[in-house]
Amino acid sequence: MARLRTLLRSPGLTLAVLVLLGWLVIAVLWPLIAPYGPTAQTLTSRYAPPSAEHWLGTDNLGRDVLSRILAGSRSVLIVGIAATTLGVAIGTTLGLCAAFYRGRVDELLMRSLDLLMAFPIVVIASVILAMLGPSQLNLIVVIALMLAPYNARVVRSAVLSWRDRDFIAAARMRGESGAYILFRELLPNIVGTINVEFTMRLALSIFAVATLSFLGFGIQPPTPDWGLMVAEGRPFYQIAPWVVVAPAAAIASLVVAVNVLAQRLRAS
Amino acid sequence: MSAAADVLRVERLTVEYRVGGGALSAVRDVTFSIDAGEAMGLVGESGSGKTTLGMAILRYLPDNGRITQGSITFDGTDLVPLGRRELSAIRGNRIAMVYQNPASALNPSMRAGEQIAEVYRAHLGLGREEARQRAEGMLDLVQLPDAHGAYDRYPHQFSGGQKQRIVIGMALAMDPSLLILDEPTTGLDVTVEAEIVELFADLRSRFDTAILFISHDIGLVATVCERVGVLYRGELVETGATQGVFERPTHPYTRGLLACRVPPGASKDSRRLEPLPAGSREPEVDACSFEPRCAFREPRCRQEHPALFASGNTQHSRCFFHETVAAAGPPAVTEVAGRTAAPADNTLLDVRGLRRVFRSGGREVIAVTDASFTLAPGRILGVVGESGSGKTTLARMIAGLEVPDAGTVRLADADVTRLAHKRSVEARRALQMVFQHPDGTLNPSHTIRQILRRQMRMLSPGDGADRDETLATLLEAVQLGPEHLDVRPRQLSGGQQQRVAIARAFSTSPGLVVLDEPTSALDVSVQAAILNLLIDLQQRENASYLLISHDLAVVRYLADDILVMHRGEIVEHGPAAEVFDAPRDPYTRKLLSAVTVHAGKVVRGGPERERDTAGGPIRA
Repeated sequence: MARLRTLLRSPGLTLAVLVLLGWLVIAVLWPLIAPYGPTAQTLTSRYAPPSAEHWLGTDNLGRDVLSRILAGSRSVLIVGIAATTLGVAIGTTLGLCAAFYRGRVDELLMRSLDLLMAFPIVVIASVILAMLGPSQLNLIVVIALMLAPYNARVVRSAVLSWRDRDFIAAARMRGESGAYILFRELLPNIVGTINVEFTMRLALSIFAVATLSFLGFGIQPPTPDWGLMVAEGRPFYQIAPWVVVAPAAAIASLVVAVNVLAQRLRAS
Repeated sequence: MSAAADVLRVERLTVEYRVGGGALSAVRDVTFSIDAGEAMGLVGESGSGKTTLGMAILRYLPDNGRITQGSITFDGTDLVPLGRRELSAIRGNRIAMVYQNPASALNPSMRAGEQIAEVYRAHLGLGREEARQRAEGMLDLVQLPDAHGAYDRYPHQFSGGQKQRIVIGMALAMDPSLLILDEPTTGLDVTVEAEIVELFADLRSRFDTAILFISHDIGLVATVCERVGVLYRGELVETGATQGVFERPTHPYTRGLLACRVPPGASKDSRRLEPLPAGSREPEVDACSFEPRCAFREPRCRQEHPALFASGNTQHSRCFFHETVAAAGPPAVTEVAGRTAAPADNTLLDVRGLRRVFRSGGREVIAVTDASFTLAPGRILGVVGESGSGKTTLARMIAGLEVPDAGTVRLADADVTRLAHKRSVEARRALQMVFQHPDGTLNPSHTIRQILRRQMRMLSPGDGADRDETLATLLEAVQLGPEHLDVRPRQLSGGQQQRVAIARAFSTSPGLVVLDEPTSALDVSVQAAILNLLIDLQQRENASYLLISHDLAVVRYLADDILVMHRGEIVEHGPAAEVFDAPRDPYTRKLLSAVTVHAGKVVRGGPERERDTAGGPIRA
């Protein structure tokens, strides 16, 4: 509690935490909050500018932008958090193995990851998604695989400072299995690093979901999704800028909030 | 000692660290002075504030540290109110400092001689040629072999001891009025340490530099300094001429510190060590800070803070009962009667032709070669040698942490030449290890209970109820209580952590325990208690020890047999008394001569050497 209080002393951080919590609440409760159905079309009021009726205006099909943004928070957060969790789990395991076993295992793992990291995330992800077909599950798996190498490198270097400690030698002399040493002796000592990693990767992951949806490889219409909304609104940007600006602002608010939190976690 | 001759006068200095919301005073009300050409030693254990004091004098305190009271007068100027620019002029020019790690003081990309020559060019404005000549002269003075050739080499081409010589050369090149040495030989091998200490003594006769020598090793300080101050919990508890303090300590802490050292030449078969008891509670505020650990305490000590009383000719003691302490003399020696080593004719451990070669970057380094020896049940074998001699690699191969390239390890007639996890449970149970670093030996994220229970579950038969009982007995054996079970390692002191590690090793009733520098990271006052504990357990369980240590006094005290390693080879092996009293190998002889420095004896040269000799009382 004391720690939380000191964290909240910084106004920027407080704001970030509030934004994050706000989006989490909205993702769960949007059906109760949203004024309209996110896919309900009112073709008579297309491109309506923000008004008392439609706070953020309507889009090309007369759908309420605010309702779509509130509803869109759910897919972004589900895919983002699931992909990050999976990616960090894979990356942590690989990093632990590489650092603990060293030698050939290390070389093989790290060089393959280097290869994967040589390609821009979005390019390789879009190729894979084009082959597998866009679905929420595929999106999660692809983003997780793209995040894992970065996470593995950080975990590996964190583990390197622990693997030669005497308590690891004591565990080996006890006859402990590799899995026990990795997950019971080493892992608990790098929990701090993994927390920071998770938060930093979460921001990237949210960004990737939005980008891939924007490119059409992610969430498919008519499901409300922020990246997709930006893509759909783009042709009408001149006449109805709110259709693009509102979802873009939503993405930015979430990514920045998570980043601020990550920076603070890293500093502490 | 007229005030005019003071080079440094520290008066009522108090240094505080801001930690969390509060303030922690690391140095409290410390007053001392050093005359020109004089060497003063500051001795203290970890947490005594000795390093903080050294940094405070140079005003190098970390951001959360600040001087809250007092003055530091250097050559008539108070350094406390000075600004950054004035300070740096003094620091670079007239106060030089030599730290523990020489590698960090040298620029790795600059030739060794250049680094000294630069001092001459910057400070004396000398030309290139002349600066080079002076620098070569300095390299010669710090006794670096082939000063001319050494000038053009880079720091990585020198050994640790040689690097420290270069750093000392750099420090002396500016001809400082004050030289601060902060643990300058910690981390160096014993033989190298002896050479460096000799160098200091020799240089003192040539330079008029005042020296402040900060160390945890009271013996080293005695060899170099004519005056000494003893720090305890940030306070100077005793000061005076080295000889006086050593021969007639007037503060209970000094007396205990001197008594708890392993006396050179002593053996466990003749006497016990006299540990300084650990206090069971924190001292009262505004009372004597040593009171909880003191054998002389009276009710008054808990109510009043003692001043620094004159307790001898030049001696001062922060103890109300300094007269009683001085009169008491050293603590009575607890003689041990009728203890004899186990017979050497049986074999528990049989090592034959062990060899290990490390390959790095295409080069082969022979860590251990052709190592053969046997160890009988119930005997203690001490393995000595400098860093890089292969003693640790040898131990790790025996322990199953390293696979030998050739040779065999047999334990109780079973071949165990393989990694630990491929050995039988019986073999793993029979061989345990106690490691060097107390803070690395226990997993910081596990509780003591988890650590000990895991060991028992993996290696000892029996059910849960049995284990809880064993756990209680184990803790009692290492003098810890049930209150230590549910804490994590960082809540324990170094000595307590090492006790847990010892309990872990003995939980399986091992036949052989490998002790890798078990006390080298501990304070002297803790060391004696741990060594006594190891001896008691060894006797009770009739275990064998393979003791690796660079501290020859410790090895001499504990070991029945000695094995000397040099560059991967066993150069001498025999009963301890024989090896120590009549070493056959030339390397062993060199190693043994170095130990005398630790005892606070000898060091040739220097105008006032004789006065400083203080061998006698430490041996008592």
